[in-house]
Order: sequence, then C-alpha cells, then structure tokens
Amino acid sequence: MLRAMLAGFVSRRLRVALTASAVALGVALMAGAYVLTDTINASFASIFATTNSGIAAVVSPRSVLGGDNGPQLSPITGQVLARVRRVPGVAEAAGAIFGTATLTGPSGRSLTTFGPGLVASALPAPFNATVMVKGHRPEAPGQADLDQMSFERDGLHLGDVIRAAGAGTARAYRLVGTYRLRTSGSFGGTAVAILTLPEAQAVVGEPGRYDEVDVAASTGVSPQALSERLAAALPSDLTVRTGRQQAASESANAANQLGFLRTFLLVFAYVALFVGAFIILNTFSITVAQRSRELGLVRAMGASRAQVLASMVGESLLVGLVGSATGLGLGLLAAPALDQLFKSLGADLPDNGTVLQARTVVVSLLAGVGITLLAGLAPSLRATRVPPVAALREGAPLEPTRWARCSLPACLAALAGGAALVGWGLAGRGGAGAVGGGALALLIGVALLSPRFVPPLAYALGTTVAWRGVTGKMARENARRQPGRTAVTASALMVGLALVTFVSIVASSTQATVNQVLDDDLAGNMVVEPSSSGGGPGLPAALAPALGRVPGVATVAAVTFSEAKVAGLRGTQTVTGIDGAALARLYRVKWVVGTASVMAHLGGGAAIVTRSFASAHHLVAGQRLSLLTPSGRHLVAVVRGVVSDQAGLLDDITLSRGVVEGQFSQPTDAVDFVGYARGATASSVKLAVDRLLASRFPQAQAWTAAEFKRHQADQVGSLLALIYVLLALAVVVSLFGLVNTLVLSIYERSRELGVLRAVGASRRQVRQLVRYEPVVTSLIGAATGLAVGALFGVVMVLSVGGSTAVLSVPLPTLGAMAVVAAAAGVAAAALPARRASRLDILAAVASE
Amino acid sequence: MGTFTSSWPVASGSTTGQSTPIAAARGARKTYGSGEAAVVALEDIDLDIWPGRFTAIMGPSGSGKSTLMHLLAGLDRPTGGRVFLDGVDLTTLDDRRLTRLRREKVGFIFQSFNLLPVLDARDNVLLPLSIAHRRPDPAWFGQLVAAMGIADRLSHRPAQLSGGQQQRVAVARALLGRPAVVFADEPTGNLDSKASAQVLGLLRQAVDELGQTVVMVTHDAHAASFADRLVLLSDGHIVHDGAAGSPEEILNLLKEAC
Repeated sequence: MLRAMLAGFVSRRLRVALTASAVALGVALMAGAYVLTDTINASFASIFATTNSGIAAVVSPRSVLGGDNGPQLSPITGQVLARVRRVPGVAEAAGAIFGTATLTGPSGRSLTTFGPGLVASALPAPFNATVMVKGHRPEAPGQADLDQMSFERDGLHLGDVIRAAGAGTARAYRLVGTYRLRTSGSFGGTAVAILTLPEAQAVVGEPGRYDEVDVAASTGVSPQALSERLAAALPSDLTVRTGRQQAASESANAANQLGFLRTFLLVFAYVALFVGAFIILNTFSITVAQRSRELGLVRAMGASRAQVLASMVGESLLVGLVGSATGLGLGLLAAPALDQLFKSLGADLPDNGTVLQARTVVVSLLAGVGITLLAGLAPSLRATRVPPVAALREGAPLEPTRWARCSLPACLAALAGGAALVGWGLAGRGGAGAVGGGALALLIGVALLSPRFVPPLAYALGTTVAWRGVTGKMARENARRQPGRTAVTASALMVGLALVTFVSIVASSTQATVNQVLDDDLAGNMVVEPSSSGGGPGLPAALAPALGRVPGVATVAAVTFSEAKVAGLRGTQTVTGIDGAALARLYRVKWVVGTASVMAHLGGGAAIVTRSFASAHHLVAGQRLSLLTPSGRHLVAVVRGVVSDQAGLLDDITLSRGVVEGQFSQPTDAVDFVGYARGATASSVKLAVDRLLASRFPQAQAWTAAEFKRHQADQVGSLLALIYVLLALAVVVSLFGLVNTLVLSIYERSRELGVLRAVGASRRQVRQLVRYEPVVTSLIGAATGLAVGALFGVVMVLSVGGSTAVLSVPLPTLGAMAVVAAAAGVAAAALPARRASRLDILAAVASE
Repeated sequence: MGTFTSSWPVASGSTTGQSTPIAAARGARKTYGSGEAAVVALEDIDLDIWPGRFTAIMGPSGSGKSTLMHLLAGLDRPTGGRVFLDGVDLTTLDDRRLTRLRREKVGFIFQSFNLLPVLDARDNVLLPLSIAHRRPDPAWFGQLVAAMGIADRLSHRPAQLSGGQQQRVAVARALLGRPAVVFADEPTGNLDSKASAQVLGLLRQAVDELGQTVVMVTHDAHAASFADRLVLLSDGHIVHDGAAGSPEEILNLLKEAC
C-alpha cells in the first residue's frame, strides 16, 4: 500500500508540486516573519549586551501605572545619585542621559536614522561601551560626538555644526569626534549624538536629573547582591536591575516594539495558509473522484477502509511535508527580501546575519503539515467510501457525501456564528480575536454556501465569454458543471479579494472621515506635529507661545497625551491634556452632556469624558474620578461634560493641560493647533511658521489643512501598498489552485477535448475553451470576494466609526481588482491550455 | 421516424463523380515504436473508398482496422505511404490544414457517442458548424433532426438521453455538414439490438438517399451486413475486399480469414 502510494506520488509530480506550492507560500511568509524578526531582535540584543557590559546594576524610573516606561520627567535627581553612592558595595556610580532628540546636520535637514535620533551623555570609563574612531570625546558644552555610521551616511566632517532638539529649542554643537560600539558598529542604524552630561540634560529637558544611574560593584560584591541592596535603599518609583537584566529588559522592549511587525506578517501568512487549505481540499477531492476506479480496485483486492484512509492521509502528510519544507527554505530566502521591502518603505533595519531558531522550523512545519492534513481529511474520508464495484464501472459518480446533505444548515450556522462573533467583537467585548474568528467563520460560511449560487452566477458572468461562440459557451457550462469544484477554486480567490476589498474600503473611508473632520472641525487651521513619526521627541512647551508670536497667528492650542489609572476601573485609561479656551475656538466636538463652554472653561478639577468611555463605565456628569498619574500623584477630577469626538483627539478622559504637565510629569506636547488671525493667509503664515521651526524647533513640522490631508493620504497609501503586496501572495496561492483545478479538469475531459479536435476544432479554439473557464471561475471569485469584502468593510466602517463615519468605496480600485482577477484567470490558464491543445486526439477518442 | 427524401442536395463527396475515389490509401504503413520493439499495425495498404458507398471494415482485435480508419480520417499520420481525402494528400498537411480539412470533409460517429455533456442535443448537432463559424441551413437541420427522430429532444443534455438517442444525435452531428465521408467507429458497440438497427438503418438511408459516403469499422457481422462492401483486415493486411452480403456469409468470411 505504501509503495503504491509512493509510486502514485511520484507519477503525479505536477499535481503534487502545484498542491505543495499552495502550502509553501504561506509557510514561507510565516518562516520569513519569524526569521526576519528574530534576526532583528538578535542584533538589538547584541547591541544592548554591549552597552550594558560594564555595568553591574542600573537604577531607572518605574511607572507606578505598571507599564514599561516611566514618567517622561525622570524622578532621578542628584540626591538620588548621592544616595546610590552611599550604598555599601557601590564602587562607582554615574548618572546617564539617553533620550530622543531630532538631530539636524549643517544643511538644516534631519540626519538619517533608524528610529528617532538620540542624545546620550558621555559616560565615565567603566560604563563607556564606545571606542573613538576619530577625534576626541566632548569636553566643552558646545562639543558633540556622533556615531561613525551616521557620520559617514550623512557625509559629515569634524568641525561641522549639528543641532539637537529635544524637549526645548534646538542647541548647536560642533562635531569633535566619532565613535562606534565596542562590539558592533552602530546602534542598529540609529543616529546617537554624545554630549557632555549637562548639555544632554538640557537637550532632553531634565536639568539636574538622570534617565538612569549606572553602578559598578566593589570587588567581591555580586551584581545580584548589589541590586538587592540598592533596591532596599531607594524609593519605590525606581527600579533596579543587574546589567544583564537591563540588557534583557531593553532587548525585550525592542522586541516588543517589533512585535507588531511579526503579528502583521503572521496575519498574512495565516491568510495565505487559509487560502492554501481551499486548494488542498479541492485538489484532493478531484483526485479522489478521478481515482475512484483505482480506489475501487484496491478495495476489490481486499484493502480495508483503514488502509485506504492511511494511504490518503499519508499522501496529504507527504504533500504537507514537501510544501512546508519548501516554504521554510523560501522563508529563509524571503527574510532578506522582506527586509528590503520594509527598507524600501522607509524603515532601515539593522542586519547582523540571519537567525533561524528551532521554533521557526517547528512552527512552520507544524502549521504547513497541519493545515494540509486538516484540509485533506474530508476528501480522504470520502475516498474510504468508494465501493469496490467502482473498479468495474467507468466514471461511476461518487455518491454525495454526508457533508453535502448537511451543508446548508452547516453554512448557515457558520454564517450566523461568524456574524455574531464579529458583532460581539465590534461591540468591544471579544476584541480583535473575535472579529478575526468571526470573519473566518463568515468566509467559510460563504465558501460552503457558494456551490449553491455558483451555477446562476457562472451563467451570468459566463455571458462575458459566451459571445465568443461555442467555445465560450462551453467554458461557461464547464464552470457550471461541478459547482462544488468551481466554488472551492473561486473561494480561494474570494478570500484574498475580500480582504483587499475590505482593507481598501476601510482605508478609503478612514481617509474620507479624516478629511471630513479636517474640513468640519478644524476648518482651515494649521497643525503642528512632531517631525519624527513614532517615538521621537514631543513638542516643547515653549513652542506654543513661540507660535503665538508669529504674525498672522491668532490662537494656538497645545494638546498633550498621557495615561492614568482610575480608581475602580481595570487597566489604564488614556488622558488628553488641552488648553480648553484655545481649543474650543479651533476644534469642534459633538456634546452629549454639557456645552462648548465646558471646554472653554476647563479648570484644574474638571474632566470631559468620551461617550464610549462614559457608557462603558456608566459615568454621569458630576461624577468624581480618582486618578493615579504615571508619576504617582493622586488627584480628583469631576466629570463636567460628555462628548463624541469623531477625530479621536480627545481620549477617554480630557483634563486641563496644566494638570497633565504638572501632575502627570508630561512636559512636552503631542500636537499644536494654530488658528489664523482675521485677514491672514494660510500660505504667508505657513512660511513664517516654517522659518520659526527651521531656526529653533526642528523637532516640529507644520501642515496646512490641505498639506495635512495629503500627508495623511500618503501615509495611508504606503501602508495600503504594503498590505496589497502581502495580500497579493494570497492571490498567487489561489492562482495555483486555479491552475491545479484546470489541469485536473482537463485530464478528466481529455476525451471531450479530443472529440472537439476530431470534429474540426483548431488548437487555438481548444486553447480558448480552456482559457475561458478560469476567467469565469476567477470572475466568480472576484464577484463574491468584492461583495463579501464590501459588506465587511461597510459594516466595519459604520459600526466602528458610528454615525459620523464617512463611507467611501474606492470604485476604481475595486474595478481594477475585478480586471486583475480575470487577467489572473487567463494567466493561470496559459499552461493548462497549452497542454490541452497539444492533446493527442487519437488517445482521447480511440475506443477502449 | 422520418426518412430522407431524394429531393435533397447530395453530399459533396458524390459530386466528384463515380470514377474518382473520395478517400484512398497508397502503400500506407503504420508502425508503433522502433527497433526491436516495433509493432507493425498496417503494412502497405492500398485501398480506395468510392463515393456514395457504404463500406464496412472488419477484422479481429489488433488487425489494424481502427488504425486504417484513423489514417483515412486524418486523425493519425501514416509511417509510410500516402493517404488521400477528396483529392488532397493528407501526409503533406500541417496540423492547422489537417484540422480544417477534417472540419470540412469528415464526419465522425464514435462507439461511446462522445457527445459533449455540457451542451444540449441541439448544440451538439451544431457543434462542428459552430467550430467552423458556419451558419447551419435551418431547413436541412430541421429535416435532419426529424429524420433522426430527435426533434423533440433537442433541448435535452446527453445525460437525459438514451444510448440510442445519443447515437442518433451523433449521426445528425456527423451528417449536418454534408461531409465528404462519414467515419463510424463501432457505432453500435454500446447499443442494444433495437437501437443498433435504427442507427444502421439511418446510415444506410443516408447512403441510399443522399449519396453520403460512409466508412464503418465494426466487429459485428450483423452491422457489417448493412454495408455495400466489406474490407477484411488481418495482421495489418487486407485479406478480403468484396460485396458485404448477409451476416452468415460475413461470419464465414471472418472464420476463413482468421
């Protein structure tokens, strides 16, 4: 039995290869995601191991709210440092600064960097992990060193003046040296300027304070023991780690920040595997139908059902193994390609050699083999029900499976369950998992239902090719012939297109909503944002007054974000700090409880909450909220208003900015809104603001309303581009399915094709016939995919965005997708059509 | 069941006159494989098929009768010698020309009917003309399907028709284009005796009333007795060529030959 199976396996090389490809692509993306992120994590781990190598223990701030990050203003003062030095066993201790800042070169442009630019204080010998390449260390206030990589990348020279802008206005420094890390070259591509300690403190806005204290132990004192002593001697808003723990913690932090990337890629890997499952199911089903004679023969010769099952499962196992192993190999090759893809979209990832963990191998193989076995199970069971008499009958149709009988209730159940799950998830209860699971169930439900609507749909869509005469008509009828087969093939394409449609509708609607908000709520005003997106320095508090002095500016409203723990509620809540009086003039929200005057007169003890937050926690006006801030202060705020804010500027709880700055230790702002004076034009004010920012605040960037819209559109656009590229993989997988189904169908219909040739059909006509069928199939997949995706997208936009959401359906994009799908059908048919037209007529029609 | 009437135009094959064969083999050979493993299927066959006649080709399994038919019909190429159809040397044609020739000059009837399951009876009958982008003569089509007794079955798919009905659809398909020759490969092999008699009667009528040329491969002596002429093959050689006669005479001939 095993030998028969293996022989069959070898003889069906093409089929096995096509089927295995369906698994391989998904596995490749999965393995690639792991390899890529592991590789990046490994390079960060080596960097952090280096920077912490000379350190026995590290004292750093701890967030009382339990997050990884402490308050923005460090509680470590000179007194804390003095206390550390007094702890027995401390040989040496140094306060250090390591904070974000926008670094600009002599041209005024930002230095190239991966992640936000950094400034660090020069450290004394035992803690210093750098070695000089050129020049000397900064000795005077106006001097700076820069890492050698950034120095070379931006073509700088010693003596050039760079500027560092953190929590305040930009400060200028003359480059006096370059350095590199002792073991690896750079900080993973991040530009890091090293300044004298007081200068570094000034740049990050913490004069007299330190981000951490590095400690060296006296001989005979272990890092562990030293850490324990330090922890006992210091207040609870500080945390103490050994150097090794600190490196691990910093690596974990970096890995965490990279976690989104892994999740993002894995989602697409699962999508590709899900699509692959359809193809495996289809191929095995067709194979079983075509081999009913052979299966009947082995049953007639005495093989048991268990043996038939074992041989079928064995075949899926082999296909799964071949596919997964190929995928793993491709993944190893793909990781650098993914790396390039992300680099081309603006990221610059450090690369210190590819890392292949055992986990990657195990998970990839398990996922690939598992999905193959699962998808192959139903056809395998079906194979066991082939009766021995099938050996004697030619083309004996298999009796319908039990599945076919219960499929209507099953698919309705899947649809209802999926809809319920999605609804539950969108209502905020089940989270993303519920939405994803529900969407999966819905897709499966549609796939199960599709054999019922494929015949009429095929008829309707088939008219697009039926005008081509009898070949077109036959293609249409072929697509209708085995609705189940066509349905599953089309479903594979449906999944990919549904997701693309969904994403493009949600993205386009989000953008339309943002535009609407900008028009409605921020009509004609200017937005000033941090110039480095993601993790860079915020806007200095000094910026808002400076903007206010620019001619033509009437109002400036600074907005800042933080978080707080509310007594009686789980987790942390997001907090927005606003200049109420200014913002009320520039920004409009819908008031559920209260009026705009609540915002205009927002005082120290008052809070505005959002409608969703209020309804989730049954808050009413007049209610007192007990808040715990990240710096450990307690305060009470009374709910004065409830709003619905379609732009999402106002978080769960909105307080006065003065409160957030002081009590939350949040000295910088997130965004400044600028309102023009009467008679001032946007372009002239923009020019003046740009001059101000360039000369004093390079960490900030100004956008007029029109520019801001374009900027948002660009950001959405580049994210969409990435998503499309990754979803294209799912479409490619479904193309393998199209090819596979077609190859198998042609094999099944060789006699018919032979007859056509015998009665005078030319090779070209046979090619046409074969080519049109997948066009019909892919149009079915496109139509269902567009419909399902549009439904998901509309539901998502309306339920998440609420009544204020703007629904935008990008018709040109969707139309292009349908065309691409049809073209994909033609492309998929190229090889099978060639094979079909080369068919030996005699072999096909000659009597048995 | 209707009958043909002699008022219809005769098939194109018979217009070439009685003196010229409509199909012919000259020294045609067919071998499969090469070297020691070579199998000779046909050896130096000379055969003329005369227009307006019903020729039966018989022979035991492996005698080469099907191969001979495939060569004459342009479905296969001889290893040596020449094959002519309506005056054209088939061995000189490329696939495209050969396909066009088949489309215009040849009709086929197969043992397993070989109707296309996705097309209804009407579309199956019209298939060769559709492929050739030729417009059918509606009157001729109506008379033909009436004669075949399938006029009320035209919207049925093959799966909804009996074997006899399917084969009559196939006969209509073969005759509709008025081909020079209709080749029938064991046309009654999958039919019961009643349906066989109907199909054979229709072929006979096509020859008698339309002057249609029919070449039929069969191993059924009863079927062969409907023909005018019997060609008997054995081991790749023609061992008998003469009038068909009664089933008993044919059976005797077969016994002698093998």
